[in-house]
Amino acid sequence: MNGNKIFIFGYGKNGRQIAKTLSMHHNVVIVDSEEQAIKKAYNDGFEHTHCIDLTEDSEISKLGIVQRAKTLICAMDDESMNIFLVISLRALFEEVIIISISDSVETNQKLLMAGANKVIDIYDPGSTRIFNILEKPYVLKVFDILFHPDSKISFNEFPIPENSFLVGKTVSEVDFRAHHLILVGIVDLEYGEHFTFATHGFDHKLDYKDILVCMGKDADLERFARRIEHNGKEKE
Amino acid sequence: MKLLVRVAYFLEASDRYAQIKEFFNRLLNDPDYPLKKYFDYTMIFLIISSVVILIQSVKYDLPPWLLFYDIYIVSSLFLIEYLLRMWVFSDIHKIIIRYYEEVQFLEKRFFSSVALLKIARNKWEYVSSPIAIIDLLAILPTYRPLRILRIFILFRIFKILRYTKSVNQFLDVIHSKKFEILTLGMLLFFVVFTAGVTIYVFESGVNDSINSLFDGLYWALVTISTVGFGDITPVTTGGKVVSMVVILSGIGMISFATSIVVSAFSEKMDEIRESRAVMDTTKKDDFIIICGYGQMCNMLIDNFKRNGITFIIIEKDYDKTAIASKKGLNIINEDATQHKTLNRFDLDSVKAVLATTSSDVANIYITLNVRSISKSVPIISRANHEKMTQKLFLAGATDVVKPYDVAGMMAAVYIDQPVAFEAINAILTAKKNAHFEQVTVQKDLFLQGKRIKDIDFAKYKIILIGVFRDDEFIFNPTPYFELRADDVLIIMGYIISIDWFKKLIQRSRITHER
Repeated sequence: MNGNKIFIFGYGKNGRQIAKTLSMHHNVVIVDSEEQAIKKAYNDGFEHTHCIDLTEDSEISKLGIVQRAKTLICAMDDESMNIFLVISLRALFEEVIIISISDSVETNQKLLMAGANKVIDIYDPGSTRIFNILEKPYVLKVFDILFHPDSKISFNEFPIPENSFLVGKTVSEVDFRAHHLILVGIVDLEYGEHFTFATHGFDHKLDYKDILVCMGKDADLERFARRIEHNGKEKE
Repeated sequence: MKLLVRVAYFLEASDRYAQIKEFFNRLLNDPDYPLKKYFDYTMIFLIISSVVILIQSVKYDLPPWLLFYDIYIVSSLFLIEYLLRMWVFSDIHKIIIRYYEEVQFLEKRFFSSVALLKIARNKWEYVSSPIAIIDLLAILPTYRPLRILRIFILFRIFKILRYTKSVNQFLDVIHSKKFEILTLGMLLFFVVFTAGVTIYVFESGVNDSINSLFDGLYWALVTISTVGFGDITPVTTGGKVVSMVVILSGIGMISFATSIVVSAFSEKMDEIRESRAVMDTTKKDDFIIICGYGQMCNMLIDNFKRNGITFIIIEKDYDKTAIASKKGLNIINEDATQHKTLNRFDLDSVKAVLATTSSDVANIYITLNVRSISKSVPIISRANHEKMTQKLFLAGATDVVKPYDVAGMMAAVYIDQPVAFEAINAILTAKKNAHFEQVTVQKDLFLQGKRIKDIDFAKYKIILIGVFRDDEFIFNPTPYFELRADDVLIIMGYIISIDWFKKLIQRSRITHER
């Protein structure tokens, strides 16, 4: 369990799903203004719950977010309430990371303006899924395999350690296949903090602190994580 | 039993008779029947050729076979069509049977004459309809030498209306304003008649050009319509006063007529546009029906457009419909939970129906409704709550999409691995830089028999994620994995790279064929 708590605001259709997934690896605190929702959360097995008036800043400050959490998730079912909440939280706590759920492109923009660090658009994947059902059944199957919570194959990011054998090499010089991994993309700090897919075709030079994103079986990912700690003496 | 009744019962029992009648009925009247198009084109050709022959014959001597064609062939084809239409208009034998059963029940005597009268009355309904009268008159121009009969050629042109949908719609629109047009007509008649009589009384004998009441009426109509040829002008003061009144009322009359037509059209415009939208979509072989125009629908449409998939949207809300139709989308403003809305489409031949409204209740209702009409059409429904999934499957959905489902997973990934989140998000939302595509290994094309290491995926700037073989997914296959026909490759890359790769495969087919 991660020491930091994660606050989830809103225990509706989205909040519930998020809480369920996150509680597998994190300490989750549920906050909602509805008595009913909190009861439901309690029945679902969440012990840390708060029922407060989310429009009152003073009540939100009492939650003790600053000391206990660095991530807040806004998942209210009501779109306008969600935006309002993001603004209040940002005004109260400058440092925390605020993630918000959105259901439309217009709201995405508003949420970012309100101060959310990340907006998760849930309908966009839904429409991709419908399209895959209709046109690409095999891609659909692969998505189900890759993104299933119990999947043996997952995505992982690897920040490159200081003394790693990777430092100084270019992407094409590293044989990811030998590690049974697929390189998905990279954040090359030389070019900024944005993520670039490996399919872009540019042969990045790897440096300390650059981040690699790989796909692979969990065991292989773990092995690779240990491997990159070492310097270049080992045989690749 | 009378012969008439016996024949009626025979026809009632005959499947073949019903089939033949149904065939002709659809050929003549059902706009969705594929053969009707060819029938319509033939008729339009006959009409146009006949009109051209008439125009030519005014100045030139035409070869006798052309006249024979016009007088006998065209006319007799029109006659046959007229009789067929009269035939399919109603079922005579049913009228006889109903009358016979009525008589039996009341223990009265059966009179053939009464039965025939009932039939005649029924068919008269058809014969007296405006469009049938035009048809009948269009048969007539068989006797050319009589000049006045040439006017009947006009009815042949009118007949074209029958075979063109847009003109029919125009007539429908006008028809819907029957009352207003009748009022206008009465008013026009009243003013023209009064003005015509007055001018006749004032000017007859004084004015050389007004010699009869007909001249007066002619002058009144020319003036009130604001055409004003000027061949007849009033010379007396009384006549001039009448002119002024007629001119003023003419302005009112014209604007009245214009407003009738304009308002009729603005009222009917949506309906016309919708029937166009339905026609445009349904003439494609397989299309998709999307119920509910919202956020999800918008994103889907982008995908569909990029892949050239035809679709039609059904939306209950008028404002949303207006927005979508401004964007040029095929959308109809109707309630998808209604049986008759979906019955407009041949659901068995539709590629899929999507129930993607934001209301779970509506989605279940739509799913049930579609399933009640068609057993086989795929239905993809959206569930907004977890509990709905099962209900949607029970209602008959083939697939259920749960948008909230990914929220948890994505939030979790973002918290632990913000960089990997960018990758996953782009993949799940099919951004242009992270497209997943399936490529089937076809027999005799360049992928078949190749080992993974022989294909330079990096050169094409794509990544091989894995291979499906016999429904089993092999993730990241080894370099020595050999591809067989019917394997499905799952690749990832920029859209342009993937399109290029697919094109290369297609091209290898061409070189093989050579």
